[in-house]
Amino acid sequence: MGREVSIIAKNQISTHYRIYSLLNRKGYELEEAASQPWETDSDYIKITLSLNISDHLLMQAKKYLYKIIDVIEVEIL
Amino acid sequence: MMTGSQVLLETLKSLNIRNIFGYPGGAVLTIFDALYHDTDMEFILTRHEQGAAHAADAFGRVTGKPGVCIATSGPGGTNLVTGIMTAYMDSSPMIAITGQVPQSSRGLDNFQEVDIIGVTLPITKHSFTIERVEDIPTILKEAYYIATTGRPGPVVIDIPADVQLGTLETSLFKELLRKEVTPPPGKESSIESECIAKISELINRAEKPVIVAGAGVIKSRASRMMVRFAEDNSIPVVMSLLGLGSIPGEHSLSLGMGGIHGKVGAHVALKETDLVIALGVRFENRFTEDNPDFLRGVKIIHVDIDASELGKNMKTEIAVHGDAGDVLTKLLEVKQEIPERKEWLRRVEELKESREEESPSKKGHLTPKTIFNVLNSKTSDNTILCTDVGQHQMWTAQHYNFTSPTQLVTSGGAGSMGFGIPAALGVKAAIPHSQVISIVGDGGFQMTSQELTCLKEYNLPVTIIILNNSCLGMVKQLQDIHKEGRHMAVHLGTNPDFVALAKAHGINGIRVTDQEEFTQAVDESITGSETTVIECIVDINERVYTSTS
Repeated sequence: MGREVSIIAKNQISTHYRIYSLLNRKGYELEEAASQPWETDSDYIKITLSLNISDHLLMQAKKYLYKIIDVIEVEIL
Repeated sequence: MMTGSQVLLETLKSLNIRNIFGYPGGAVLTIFDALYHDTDMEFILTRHEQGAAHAADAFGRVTGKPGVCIATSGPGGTNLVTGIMTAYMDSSPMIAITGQVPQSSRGLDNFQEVDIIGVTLPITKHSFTIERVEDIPTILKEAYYIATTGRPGPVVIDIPADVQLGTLETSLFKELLRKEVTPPPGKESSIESECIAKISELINRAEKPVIVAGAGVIKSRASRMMVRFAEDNSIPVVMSLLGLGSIPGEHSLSLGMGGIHGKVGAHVALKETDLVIALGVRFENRFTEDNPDFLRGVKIIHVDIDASELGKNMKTEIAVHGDAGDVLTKLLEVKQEIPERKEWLRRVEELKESREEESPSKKGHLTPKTIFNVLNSKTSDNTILCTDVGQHQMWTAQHYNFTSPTQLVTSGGAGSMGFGIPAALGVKAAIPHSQVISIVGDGGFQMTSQELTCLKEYNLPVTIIILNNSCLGMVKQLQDIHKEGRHMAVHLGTNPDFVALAKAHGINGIRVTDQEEFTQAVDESITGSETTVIECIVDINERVYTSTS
């Protein structure tokens, strides 16, 4: 069952690449993804992911996503 | 007016970086042209980019500053990959600079074009593609900051050829250089005093506590504090492979390395403990022995600079996201009555006396124990031991008496064969007055032996000790345990003549088969001023003690 995570990150060419590379590396199953400019600052994007993932791994995923240099905020929805 | 390449070198120098390891190529011509004209930067031409990356990694491990390596585009960059991964797995600060095709050619699959940023995404702390000359100073400074702060790690910087050739007014460069770098936003840790109070209370109530010290203690330069904390609280210390040296091996509270190839005493202490204080260690599977019951029922206080390590492999009673040194400082400030733990200390003394089974000596062969008895007697605090990967690496960890932190430079997380010789190169370049010894196996030696030439060319004398058992011993041992002794592709029956190979590189070489010969060879090498390769003949049946043996 999909658990939603909201990410705010700098809008760079490689940003999506880094996030999806992390999901692949950790073996997290991605069900849905959406991306749009962040309304607060257009230099940033808001990415919403739906992951098929346990509670424990969701908490780990949050920590890993937050480690990405360009990511400034991660919220479990 | 400056070229982008000159801007690159001057920015590196402003960051106090004076050493680069690397290999030239078409996509870095302009950078190497700038190096040609530069009189301050020490450049070491390795004979393979992997050697450059391992050397830069080792440089970073012993200095705390990022080691820098440089390679051309395409295969130059991909040849760095193993070295970058090795640095990533062991949290070593590194900046790897790669050339790239001009931006106008991007994506056209031109000669030697590779998406090196994409290739290295999973094995870097961060990476940058520089698109404008004026971005070079800021990006270099950001890369330096990222590589060295929090949990250190490698950063890749990809520079297209047109950016290397582009120009920048010198006055603008100086202005950009003065600009402060804004660190990435809000990922700092904080340690609350309530948390420290809870930790102190748990420690006081524990009857058989153990400190598990990992690389984080050493990277945090917190070894002395940890030893004082252990002494004040009567707590023995078990170390991970990369934590070795955080407490001197002969200290009464040191139980040596834990894990699958650890000491008997460490293994037993972790079975008997009721509280583990884990400092800068990540509980990876070689330490937990892949055992789902590892520390079951034991309370764990886990301190790590990387929040993602907390709760990843072990359930914790208290998780502290913070620097080991900062936490120890606060714990040492807590004034309270500490239990004496006489019985536990008596038990620790017994456990220190536990010995792994030793193999009998055989004529014409040296045993690992003999080799390290000699090295222990002939070396000092000034010695830095590099290793390659295999049985010899574990024998080093088990038998060498580390007396200080940063005395061991080894590929722990990645286990990259070929690390040993270029690591020695990097360490000696970083600390020329140190005595550097590299322990390698006959397998790993052959992966990067070409770097022996650099030791000669750049006058960086080290001692290389090959433990030649004519096989890939660790894999053979695994085949004995898990594949009922079906040995496949592990016998190196036709090794080259390593002594002749050393001499072909212009280096002294000697083969030894007994303690007397080995002692003499070591004496001559460490007091001499040239690199020596000492080939020790070791019996093919020598095994590494494992906790499951």
